[in-house]
Order: sequence, then structure tokens, then C-alpha cells
Amino acid sequence: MALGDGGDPTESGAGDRTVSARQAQHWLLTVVPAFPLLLLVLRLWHLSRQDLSTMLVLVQYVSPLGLVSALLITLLWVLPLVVLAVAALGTLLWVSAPDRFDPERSLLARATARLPGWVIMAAVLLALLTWQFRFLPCLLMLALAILGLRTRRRHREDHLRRYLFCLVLPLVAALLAEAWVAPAAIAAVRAQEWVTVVLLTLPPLLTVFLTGPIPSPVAPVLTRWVLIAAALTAPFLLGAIFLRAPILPMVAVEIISTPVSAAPEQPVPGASPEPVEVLIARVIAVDDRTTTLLDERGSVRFVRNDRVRSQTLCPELEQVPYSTVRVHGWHAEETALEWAIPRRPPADPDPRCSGRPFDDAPDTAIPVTR
Amino acid sequence: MVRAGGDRGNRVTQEDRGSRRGSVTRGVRLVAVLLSLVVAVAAVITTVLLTGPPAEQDLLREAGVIGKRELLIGVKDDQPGIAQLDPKTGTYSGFDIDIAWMIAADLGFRPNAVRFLAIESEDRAKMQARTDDGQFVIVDLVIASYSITEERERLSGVTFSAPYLATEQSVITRLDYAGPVDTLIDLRGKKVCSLSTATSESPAAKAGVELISKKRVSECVDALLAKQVEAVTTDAAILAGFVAKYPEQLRHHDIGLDPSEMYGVNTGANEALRDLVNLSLYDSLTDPRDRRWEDAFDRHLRPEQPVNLPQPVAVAQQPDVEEVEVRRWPWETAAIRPRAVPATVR
Repeated sequence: MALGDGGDPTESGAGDRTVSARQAQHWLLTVVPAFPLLLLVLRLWHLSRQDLSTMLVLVQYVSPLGLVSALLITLLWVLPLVVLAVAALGTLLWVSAPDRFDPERSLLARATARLPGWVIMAAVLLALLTWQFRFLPCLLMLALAILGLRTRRRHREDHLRRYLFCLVLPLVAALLAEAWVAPAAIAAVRAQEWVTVVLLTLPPLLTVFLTGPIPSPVAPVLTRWVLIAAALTAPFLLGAIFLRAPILPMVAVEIISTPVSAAPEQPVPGASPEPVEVLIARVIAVDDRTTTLLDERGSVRFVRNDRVRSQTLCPELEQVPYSTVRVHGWHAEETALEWAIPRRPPADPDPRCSGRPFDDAPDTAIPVTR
Repeated sequence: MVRAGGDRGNRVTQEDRGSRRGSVTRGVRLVAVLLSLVVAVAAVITTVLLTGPPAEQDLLREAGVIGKRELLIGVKDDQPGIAQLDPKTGTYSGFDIDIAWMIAADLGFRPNAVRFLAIESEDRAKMQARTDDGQFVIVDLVIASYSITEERERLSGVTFSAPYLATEQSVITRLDYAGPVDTLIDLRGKKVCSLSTATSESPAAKAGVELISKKRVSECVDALLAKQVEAVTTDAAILAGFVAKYPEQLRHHDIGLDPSEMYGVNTGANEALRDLVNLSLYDSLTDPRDRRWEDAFDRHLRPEQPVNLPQPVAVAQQPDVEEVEVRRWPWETAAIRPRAVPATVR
């Protein structure tokens, strides 16, 4: 098995199995880099509502750099998760069943054995910035479990150090963390968001029990199957998350039937107002003649620029959070980055984003005169 | 608890005890690891699969508000203080109208995208209102002193919002009416006018009055002023406007009826729209800086109170609204600022 531990290395035929495990790992390492590419193509396929022509238009105009940035921003939090999960499971296996920890045959063992401390530190820092507040107790749990397990592994004889890092530190951290998240947990109980309650309160308490070995017969099986389950579900989960991420800006465009240049400067008094269509769509491209838009049903609209009376950016729906819990002004679904960096003040909703023309203030409508 | 199982003493008994304790500790840790995996699964479910309540924008889309050019609201046109059409200017005014402005603004409609249409009492369930050129159209909302009753809720095509005003039934007579009017029974045998569809019809009928039904409450009041009937009975909030209009001729009586009349907004069969109306009412109730309900009450109903004593015009507090399950931006739930465009333009 490429992912987990493969069994006792001393049994007969171990050499063959080592070779086959190696080959399996090489295949895995070949397939993994193709996954982001597959995600990007899937995203365009999803955006085009499975229409090949539309997808080709998208491929023609959507910048690869923009797509990669969207992918990176949306899934940045996955990198520390992978590093920390591998480090935690690998070290747990190493501490629990040292005789089954074979870097030659198990990718998990190899990754764990070669993972330098600073990478774990960097992963923790990155997670601190990019994980939502409600997942920070899980981060604390992972980080302290890795620290405790690594201490136990490296300093077998240093009882004081083990006592400090495997018992005292997790206990103190758990108490501090519980005190800090208590208001949020109470708010979550009031809002009946039980998953948030579990996410906030349980991980710090569990940390105390995660800094030592588990029964040695169970450890290889457990780590292996957890990794296999994660590896099998992760592509679907990441795909589901990335497919929801916006990659083109949502705008509302006011379209008139007569070109802007042909319309009289001053509206004729008493004349019926110009019929205006308001299109809510995503901008694919704007060139010197047309604005190419992708409407909500997935069809591409080419609008002549002189028919565009005005346009405005509309907010993205997907970003509206589910939770209402906040602690010390920090919303449960906000990351530390989002919390720290100033946010654009909320603006009054634009009627154009509700599909209504902006006609009570025609002066503010900016005609596109490219 | 964190002693490793591999820690062994020299003596056999110590070793035994140590290994037993070690295996128990390892077992406890295994449980902890499994629990943490449960937490991980919970985290995955919340981030990826959780389908919480709809966002406000989802509701707007579901309600068909997105893309709608004009919000049509059916209102009364003959009830001073509640909703009255000024034939000279063609504008509506009253408490219901202010509530309609508030709801329309929260739905994202600017005042110039809102159109009021006069609606008759019997058309409120069907949501049919007439336009200026005599055509009947289906309106989006009915905000027309429409009391929430179980019987009406059972009608198909009637979906009531949360209540926005609580009042009660009462009676008005001419100022020169001689007898006491403490209950409806005092009017037994007298001609009493009421609306043909009103909820006040049945208690009056039970009291044994001679009931005259009209389609419009203004016709009842005209009949009262013309001395064709002795009294008019319907909701106090409606009658109070007439008493305030003709304080020299009319008098309000408190008849001590217990059940209160709760006015609701009819959104037809559109439940998403009902939720949005409730959201608007909930915000108005809970946001201390949102004083649009209070301002509407102070402008239209509170000034009517002195001439209407001893009958209270309406309960001077917005009725309770249940919280609407909807996903919102953090700054909206924190009520940092009032939402949408305040309906200041009349």
C-alpha cells in the first residue's frame, strides 16, 4: 500500500513488496500534480453548464493566471491541513508502533521521517492565518499533538521534557483555549449550531489525550485507513469547494436598444423612457466592440459596447456565512487574515443587482464609450 | 496518564502493573483519536456539505423579486390614518402605506419602483387590485388592514406574514348618540353598519344588532353621518381615523371585546416573499436604530388617540415577530447600519 504502512518488513517477500510499494508511490506522485489541472478544467466545464462551445469561449478568454490565483486563494488552507495531518498521523504511528514504521515502504512513514520541524511550524503559521476561526481549536489540537508526539519520540529518556510537552502544555493550552472560546461556544449553543459547539470545545480537551502512543496493533491499521479514506474523499471535497468559488466577476449591465451615441443628449420631455434591460451576468471579456457576458443560465451574450448604458459590480452570494457566532468581534467563519485586514464598508444594495434599472439617477450612469 | 506503555521497571510486579496501566492509557488515547476523527468529519461536513438556511438574496430570487421592475402593493384607499388616497395629488398616505414603504425598501425597491393599487376588502385574498384604467391586476403584496384569522389562512392563495399592528374591534356612533355603548349588546335592535367581509361581522351578528353590510368602510361612515345607521363597527385603528377626521360629529366607544385584530401582509402563495416581509418586520422590531415602525405609528396613529378616548387606537408597540432563518453578512447580523434604502421619498 502506497499510503500507509504495509505490514511487517521482516517477513518473506518483503523485498518485492518494497519495490511494488515504491512503484505505487511513484504513480501517486505522478497523478497528484495533474489534480489541480483537472480541477481548473472542471471549473470551466461547470461554469459553461457542460456546453462545449461555451467552455471553449471561456478557455479562450479566461486567464490561466487568474484561474490559478482563484484555485490558490480558495484552497490555500488545504496545504497546512495536508502537512499537519500527515505529520500527526505519521508521528502517531512512529510512537505507537516503531517496528511497523518503515520509511522504505510507506509514504506516510517516509514523509514523516523527512518532514523538518520548520515546515510544520510554517504550516501552523499558515493555518493560523488561513483557517476559519471555528477551526482554530482543531489547529491547536493538531499542533500540540504533533509537538507532544515528536517530543516523546526524540527525548525518550528526558522525563521532565516529556512531562512538560505531553501533559502540562496541552492542559494549560486547553484551559486557556476553552476560556477564550467559551463566549463563542455559549453563543453557538444559543444559536443551536451544534457542530460549531463541538468544533470549538472538543479539540482542546482531546489534545491532552493525543500526545502519546495508542495500542500498537491498532496504530498501523488506523493510520492507513484514515489516510486512504482521506485520499479517496479529498478530490471530491476539494472539487466541491472549488466549483463554488467565483472565478469571473458578477456584474449587472444596463442594456439599451438604441446605441448610446445615437441617443439625444437631453431626454425629450414627455417622451417615454428608453426601455432598459438589466442583465445580471459574469464578465468573460471586454474588447473594443463587445462585452462578452455569461448569464446565469450559462449562455454567452455578446453585447455591443454602445448598447451598454452602465454597469456595476454585484456581491457574490456564495460568501454569505452560515454561522452567526462571533467571539471578541471575530466571526466564526472569518479567518485571521479576514479579521485583521480592513474590509470594504458594506454598501447599499444597487437596484441593478436586483435586475432593476438605475433610472432615478440617470446622471450617475456611466456610459461605456470605448 | 501520559506515561508511555514502553516504560518498564526492573521488578516483575512493577512491570506487570506498568504495562497494564500503559495499555489502559493507550486505549483511552485511541478513543481520543477516534473522537478527533469525528470532529474532523464534522468539520468537513460543515465546510462542504452544510446547506444552511437560504441567504437573503436566495429568498429574493425564489420570491421572484430579482428582475421585477415594479412592486405592486394592494392597499386601502378610503381609510384615513391607515391608507387613504388623496384624489388631488394621487398619493397615498397612512400607517399601512408607511409599512409598505418600509417593506418595499427592504426588498430593494426604491420609491419610484413601488406602485400602490386600491384593493377592495373582498379582493384581498385573491390579491386582485384595480389599476387607474379600470383593469384588475394581481398584486405582489396586500397591505390593507387585513386581519390574520385562521379561516383566512386556510384559503388557498393567502399567506400571512407576521403581524405588523395589533388593534381590536370597536364601535363608533354619532356624537349625539344618547344610549350607553359599553358592549355590542347595548346596540341590540339598532342598525349597525359593518364591512361585508370584516371579522367584526360575527360578534355583532351574535349580539343581535340589525346588521347593514357595506363593501367599503367609508360608505358605512357616510351612512352614519347621514343618520341612516346608528353605529359602525370594525377595527379601532380604522374607525379612529374617521373620528379624528370628524371629531365634532363622531364618537368612539370601547366595547370591551377581548380578541385582538392582528394585521398581516398577504403575500399570496409566495412563501419566500412572506419570509422576506417577516425579515423586514423582524429587523424593524429588533434593530434599535430602525425607527421606521415607530415613526409610522407616531405620524399616523398616535395623533388620533386624544379624540378617540377611551378606546385605544392600536397597541403602540410592534407585535412580536419570530426570527427568520436566513444567512446574512456578519455586519447585517451585528446591525452595524440600517439596511437598504430608507423610504424617505414620498
